[in-house]
Amino acid sequence: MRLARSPRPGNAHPPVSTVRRAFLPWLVACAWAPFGPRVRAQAASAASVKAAYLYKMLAYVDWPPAAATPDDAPQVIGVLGDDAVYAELLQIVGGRRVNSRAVVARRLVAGDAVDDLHELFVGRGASANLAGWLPGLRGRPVLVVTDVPSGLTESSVLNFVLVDGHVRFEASIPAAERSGLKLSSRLLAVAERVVAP
Amino acid sequence: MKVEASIRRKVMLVVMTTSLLAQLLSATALLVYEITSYRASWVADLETQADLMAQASAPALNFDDARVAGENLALLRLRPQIESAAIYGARGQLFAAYTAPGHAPLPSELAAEWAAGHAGHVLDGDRLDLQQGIEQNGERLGTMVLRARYDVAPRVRGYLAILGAVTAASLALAGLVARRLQRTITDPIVAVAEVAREVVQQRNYALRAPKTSHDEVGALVDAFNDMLVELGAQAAALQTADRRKDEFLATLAHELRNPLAPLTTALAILDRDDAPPAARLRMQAMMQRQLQQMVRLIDDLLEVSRISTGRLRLRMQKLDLVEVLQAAMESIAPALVEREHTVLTLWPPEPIWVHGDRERLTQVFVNLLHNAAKYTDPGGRIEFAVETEQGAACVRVADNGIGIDPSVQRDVFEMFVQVDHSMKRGRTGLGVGLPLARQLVALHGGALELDSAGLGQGSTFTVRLALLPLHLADARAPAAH
Repeated sequence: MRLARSPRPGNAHPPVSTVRRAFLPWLVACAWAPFGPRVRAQAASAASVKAAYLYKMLAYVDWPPAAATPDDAPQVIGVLGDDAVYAELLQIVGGRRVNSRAVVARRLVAGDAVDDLHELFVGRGASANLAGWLPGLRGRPVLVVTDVPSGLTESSVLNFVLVDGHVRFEASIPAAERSGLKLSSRLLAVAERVVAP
Repeated sequence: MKVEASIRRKVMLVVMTTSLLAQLLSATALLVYEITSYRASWVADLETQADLMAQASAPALNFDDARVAGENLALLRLRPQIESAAIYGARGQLFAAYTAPGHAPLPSELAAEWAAGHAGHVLDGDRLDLQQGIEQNGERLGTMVLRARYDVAPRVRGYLAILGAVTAASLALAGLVARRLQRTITDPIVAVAEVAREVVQQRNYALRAPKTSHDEVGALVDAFNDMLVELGAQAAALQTADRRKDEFLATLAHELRNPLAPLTTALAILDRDDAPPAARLRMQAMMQRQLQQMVRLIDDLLEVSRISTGRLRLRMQKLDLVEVLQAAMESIAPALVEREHTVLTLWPPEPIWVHGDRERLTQVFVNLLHNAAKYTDPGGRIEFAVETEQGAACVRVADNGIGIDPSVQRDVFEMFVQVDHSMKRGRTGLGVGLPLARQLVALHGGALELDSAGLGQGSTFTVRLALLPLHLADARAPAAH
């Protein structure tokens, strides 16, 4: 309930480890204390963090001019195979704009058109079919984000990983280049791992 | 040279004080401006730094990467002035922090306050707290906070050292310039003093101080030279007066001695029993004349003395001028006869009433007649006339004698002046007759004038005296002094 009512990205941070944040004000910890069973909270917040990241990543990626739709056209984030993330994303993008453009979340199923997508998140539920999806996206300016614990696939540009209980991501510059995308160095600076060309 | 040193010191003092004050004033203004602008630029610089850091930290906040944020903040070690820095999340929680070695971390109780604040800075003494919002797409991601030590002392010390050096250098320069300039003031003064010393030593009033400028010193030189001119004139006048006194003494001795020889001779003749009666009479008449001459001479001297000491008192009364002329004529007659002059008297039959001192006016006309007789060759012609015109009586004594050169006509009325220094034919005198006559006439409110065409042209002396008004003519005027 609480997460649904306050879906702001700042609130979506998972509890931080006491090792790295030893000096965090205790009141922050108190604020997080009443969040029910720790496991459930962690699962819920993981989807929330991923949704927030998906949204924030838009600001650090340049799409090629050819893919530029009219200035007022929304940026579309497609979510495949992860309803929890989709639900969080719907809460986040409502009424928000990135680079002065509205952001729209779209839930996809196999076979849906991907023509107007800017970003595609392939959840773990769809990872099995990843090989079937990716060839269709090859060469298209779509930021493909996967959630594969084993690492970046051939065509995914970004991939979520869990490090010490925190959601991080890794980036592939060659994949981005193949898609005609340009990743901001500031994004790469906070990536857990960067695959260089 | 003590005076010169003093002026030099004063000029130097004025220049140095002025320079120092100007330097201090400009240095203070410069320092204040420099500190103010330095502080402003320092704050602006830190704001830029915080802004850059905030921009760089936005992705770290976005993707919750405190490690990257910490690495970013750690770069601040390159700025030793920054003691501590921190990044707070949107809810005020500490996200990343940096503390320079040897400094305390930012106090945590301020976190909420800072997280809620917007861009701005607080300057407290030499400590600057600066906060900068971290935003992206209009969303507040967090807050960047810097605390820096505003260490202005070394800069001020550096500036003071530079300003001190500049002040010292400019003072030295001003001293050099003043040293040259003060010579332009002291040199002419020293020159004036030198000339003054020479004038005193040599009694040479023709010396002049050189004028080198047209300023106050030039005015001093001018005034000094004018004073020398005046001193020279006075010295010359004193010398002339001195010379006249010497001549006067010589003449006085001569004049007093002259009658003594004939008197001695006459006494010897009178002493002889066989002297014929006619000779006795002649001797007595001669002795009488010589005595009169001496009495007149001494009377003149006494009068001069009284006038010059202000002790002369006129016995003023209403009197008939014609009677005075007659008395004078009778008094001088023997001398005129002796020199065989022809005297033409032109007097009106009726009285001419004036207000005056009978004896002194008689003395005036005797002196004028004596003068005419003396400076006219024997057998000359003397006109002694009186007439009235425009309310004044004009008595004219004109002769056809040797006359007076126009260039010295003013001098004949100067005391002890003998225009003719030849002393030939006994034409000598004390030189008091004419000055005395003029002063006596002046005391009567009248005027004595001289008119002579030149040497050999004869002389005319005219005395003007105010007539008594006609309606008073018959009244008896009160005696006055």
